[in-house]
Amino acid sequence: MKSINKKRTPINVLAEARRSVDFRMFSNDAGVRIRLASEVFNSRKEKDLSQSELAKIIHSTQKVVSKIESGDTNIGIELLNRIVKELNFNSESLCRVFDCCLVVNWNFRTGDSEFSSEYASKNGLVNNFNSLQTNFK
Amino acid sequence: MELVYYFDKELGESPVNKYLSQYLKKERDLPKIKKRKEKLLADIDAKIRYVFGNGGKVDGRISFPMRKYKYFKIKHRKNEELVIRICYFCHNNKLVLLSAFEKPDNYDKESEERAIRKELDIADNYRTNFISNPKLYEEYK
Repeated sequence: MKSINKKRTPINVLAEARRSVDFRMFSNDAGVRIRLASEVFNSRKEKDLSQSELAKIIHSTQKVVSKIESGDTNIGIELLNRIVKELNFNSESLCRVFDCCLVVNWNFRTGDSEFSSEYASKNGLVNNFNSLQTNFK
Repeated sequence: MELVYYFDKELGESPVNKYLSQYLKKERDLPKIKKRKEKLLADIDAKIRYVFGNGGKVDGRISFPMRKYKYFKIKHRKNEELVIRICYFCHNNKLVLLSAFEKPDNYDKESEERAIRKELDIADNYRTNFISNPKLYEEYK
């Protein structure tokens, strides 16, 4: 008779989960939430606001702000819009959150630059650009 | 720095991996349950990687210090009532994931408090074991 009490070989859960397409999509979503959490936290600290004060400004609650800052919640587009406006997110912060590239139209003659906000910077592209611009001037 | 699981000889696997295995989707699960499980695993994985990217530093948002213990915790909200805690510490250029358990937001029973204290003590034992035998780990993949 065959023994049915075979010892279970442990599966590496996350390695197994990573094989799924949905998992990769959820991973990207979680990455965006965590990067947004950092941006909100840093901007709030820069402005010297408490979570309750920020909540009041964006017409939300302290609990929601806390959940945003810990990356535990998905926020709607309206609330995101209010946060972006009230915390004065610049294109660089948005670029970091959404992890994509920034297109800059820079007039070499006048030195005027125009950051296209629909794209985002990656790997300090904006910083490099700013220093390049300063050196050029 | 390297991200690793603590490996427990008695369990024959990593306690964190064992905890996470309950969220591995099964064939018989309904599609919405499968998605919920995958999302939870993806969220936990993202938080672990974020803390690892920060060099294990405590930021007070995702990772926190533990009172009375020499390790830290990563918190992830599972639902309105439960928070998942993953205990970790850094040793010899390794971020070691010690154990994971669930903690209710509000509890007033002494038995629940005892159960949580037990989990924390177990994680502390894992930490001591790892320090005395630094080969007790497996790769975080």
